Amino acid sequence: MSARLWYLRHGVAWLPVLACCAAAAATALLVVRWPDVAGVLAPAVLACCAGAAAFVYDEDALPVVAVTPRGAGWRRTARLGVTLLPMSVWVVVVALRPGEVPFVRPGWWLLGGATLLLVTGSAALASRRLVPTPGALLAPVVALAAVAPVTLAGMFSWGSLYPIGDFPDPVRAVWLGVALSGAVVCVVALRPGLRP
Amino acid sequence: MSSLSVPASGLAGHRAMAVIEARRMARHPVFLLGVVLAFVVLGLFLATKKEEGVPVVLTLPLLGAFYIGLTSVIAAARLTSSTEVAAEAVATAPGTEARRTLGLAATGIPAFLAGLAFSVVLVVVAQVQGVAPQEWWFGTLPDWQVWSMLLMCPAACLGGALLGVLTARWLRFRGASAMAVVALIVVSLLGQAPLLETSSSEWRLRVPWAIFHTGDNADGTQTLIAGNPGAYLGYMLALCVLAVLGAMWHDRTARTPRFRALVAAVAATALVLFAVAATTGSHDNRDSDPIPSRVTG
Repeated sequence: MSARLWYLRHGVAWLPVLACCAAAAATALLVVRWPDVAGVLAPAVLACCAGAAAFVYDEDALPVVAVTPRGAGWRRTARLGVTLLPMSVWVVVVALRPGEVPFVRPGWWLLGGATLLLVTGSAALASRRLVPTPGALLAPVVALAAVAPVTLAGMFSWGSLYPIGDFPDPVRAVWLGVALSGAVVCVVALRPGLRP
Repeated sequence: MSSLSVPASGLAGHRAMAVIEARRMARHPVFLLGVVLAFVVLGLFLATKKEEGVPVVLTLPLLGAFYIGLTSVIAAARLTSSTEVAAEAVATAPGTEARRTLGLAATGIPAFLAGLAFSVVLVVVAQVQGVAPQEWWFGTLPDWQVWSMLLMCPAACLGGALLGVLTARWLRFRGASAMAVVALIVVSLLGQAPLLETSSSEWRLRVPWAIFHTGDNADGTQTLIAGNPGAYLGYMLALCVLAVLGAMWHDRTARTPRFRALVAAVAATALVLFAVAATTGSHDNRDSDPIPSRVTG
């Protein structure tokens, strides 16, 4: 087993990551049962996946491991790969279209990927700043933030950020902006070194 | 860091602990973010509306309940968990976990006041800008029903904070508050959405946040959902008390016969209030007269 896999197996807080992924899968099953309210349940699935991504950089012993010879940059880069797990859950859920809800797959993959990129980058940035368990605060905040746009959909003329049946260009532009922000945050967070 | 000196026991001690926890809550960044977001979104809604007067005013308490109430869940859970860092040291001090939990229940005070301020702002803005004469509001509904629906916002904010305390007391795993937030949204949605347009819509009132107003329909009408909002408000407050008692229940030493009887009495009261909410008030959904400017289809 390579050093990275060994480290990920022992270092990642798998319980909350897997619990959030399981919650995402369970919520997706609710979409199968109640497709009429997919407009709220699908963002709730995303909220669970984002919550999982928020825990990827949790490391209780951060002050110790951050100064090991292998370096904090190696550690943060290795952990980035764990985001593939919630990302895979999201990709599969959207691909399967639970309840035959007409998700526009490229658009929904984009919004999920953008959200997870931003959340992972934020967690990595907190880790870079020596916050040992950023997920404890980040997970509930991003879960709430993922669902919050639903409350705005019926109130403003600009429509929903989670469109079902059609994925308008302005909405795509918003999510591309989120993805770009996430990429920038990731690049900043994954630079070698620490910023206490 | 507060420098208040806390008496070991008695009412003064409880009050001092409550003041400390309420202050911590009022300064918590997540709670403050929720309050700011609630008012910013309300301000944006009022600034971008295209008609005179405030539209769908009785749906707007949802904004306060969502942003302030759900961020209160997170903030109160964080504050409760933070006390566990020093659990061993605290456990050697006079007082019990139940007593500390009762102090933590004061985190609901800033949340309640923020929700109340949100509702007051709604009423003031509606009075200043007016509402359409067909709108469900004072004049088309009994005053007590309108006030009950408006006060559901502060009740939900209070409940959010108390749910946060309850969650942190019983669920120690990371992400428990995230789970609580998502579960609250999903339960509130699935518990009522499938029932809203059925003849048994009053049974939706079992959920901790039920809507009474659908917003604008395509034909310009607004639907008022069945049920008694006054009794439902009481049901929400009973759930708040149950949340506090449930959090105190975590302390085994608190489970005296008297405390158990209190829990049973509050649970029974909640059930009675739910039954009253579901069986009295309006028995059917009611549509308002159409508002011509809001006909969309």
